[in-house]
Amino acid sequence: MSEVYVITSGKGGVGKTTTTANLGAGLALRGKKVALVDADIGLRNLDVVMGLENRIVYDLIDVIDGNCRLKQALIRDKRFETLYLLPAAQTKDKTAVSPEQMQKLCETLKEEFDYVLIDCPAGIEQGFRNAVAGADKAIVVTTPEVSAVRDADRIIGLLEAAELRGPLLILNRIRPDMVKRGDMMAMEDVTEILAIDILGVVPDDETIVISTNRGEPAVADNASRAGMAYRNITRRILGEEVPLMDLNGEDSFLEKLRKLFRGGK
Amino acid sequence: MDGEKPVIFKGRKDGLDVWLDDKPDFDAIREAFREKTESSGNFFNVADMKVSFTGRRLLDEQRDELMEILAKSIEIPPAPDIGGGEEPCRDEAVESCARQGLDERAAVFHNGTLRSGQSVRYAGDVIVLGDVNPGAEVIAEGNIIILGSLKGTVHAGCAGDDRCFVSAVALVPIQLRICDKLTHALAGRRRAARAVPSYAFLQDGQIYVAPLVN
Repeated sequence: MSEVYVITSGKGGVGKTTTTANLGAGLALRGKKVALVDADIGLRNLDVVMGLENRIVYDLIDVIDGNCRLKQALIRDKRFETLYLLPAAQTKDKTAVSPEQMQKLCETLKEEFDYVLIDCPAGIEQGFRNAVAGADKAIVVTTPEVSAVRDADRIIGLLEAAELRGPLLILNRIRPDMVKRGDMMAMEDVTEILAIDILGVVPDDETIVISTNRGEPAVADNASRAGMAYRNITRRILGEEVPLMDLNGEDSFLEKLRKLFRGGK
Repeated sequence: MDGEKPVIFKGRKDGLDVWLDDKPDFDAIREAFREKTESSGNFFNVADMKVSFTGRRLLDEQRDELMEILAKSIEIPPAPDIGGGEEPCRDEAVESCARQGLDERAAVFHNGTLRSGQSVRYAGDVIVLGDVNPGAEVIAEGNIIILGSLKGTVHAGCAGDDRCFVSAVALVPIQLRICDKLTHALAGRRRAARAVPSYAFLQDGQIYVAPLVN
């Protein structure tokens, strides 16, 4: 029983590609056979984040145009055994694919893989329509910023219109200290507007920048808090009940003392 | 100046005051009323016009007769007004009539939350069973009722009706328009303080917000 997830957000730069890479790697670490599809044709990034850029020979457009077989275009990630990447073409644009072709491609991938994760481009135009065409489920990524939440809301409306019911939310790059000061939207503020089920909260974490630049998904890094959050999300996708991460784990020494005196509250 | 005429029409903003002389008999009054109505032509072309009679005590059937004459002349049955006038000889049989602004206008329901980018436009009342999120809009010629939080943009009475209202369980819109008047969200982050069931209406060219329950 394989599933096709589209990872989308509307707004750019909120962490779609990073989320796709980490969830893919996380699912592969759990022994699932996973295909990552970069639907951001013309602006491909997923291969870079995965550190697989130098191994691209064929891409998604080559597969759709019949220049190669699907198997030839799929790049196997040597670190994660069961993880494969279908890269986007860099020299074409979104109009090079149609939603019907994407649908067919996803059907083919489903025969072979347990999970297919589609990295959706930013925006609501053809690229978005292509990315959601073959998906069974959607994951909406947002950051706790008013503009990102607004776009996520728009996207959720469009997903509903595309009959993709029950999208799940990942709230990325949250900073507990700022939330505490009232300078950042809290998870409750975001879910109050978006009103969809939350799949996970990922704290803002420097190690993500480092791992992304190195092309090594943080999910495999046991010391990374964001990696931990992605591991939790992976387990939830697999159907486990995992409580949301306690984001206040990084209290200062003083804060800990204060809590101690206040009676653990 | 019209002292000797048995019937005097006086227009109000939303209806008509009719003064009837109490000296002549009713047949004379009826004829005078008919003449007056016909000579006034299209003047009373208001769908929800209210009519109140003063100056003479009328029997129920007499008043019905006059209403019928008036109705024929404008082809739309006007509702007899019963609201607190100052005249003592108002008919005692008090009939209730639809509150203004809530009378027979078509309404449409929207089931579910309106998300950013979605919009409902309708030439009547709109009822939303859900929230109106920031970036979403509801534009209605009539009233707008939101059984949820209003966080987006709404425009009631967009065709010029200044009696329309907007009500919501939590009234915290980005922008709220009634007729040709506009108001926007209070700046600052404590908008949620106004998140109580409220309605907004237009009075003396200003938009007012009042809680629905005290």
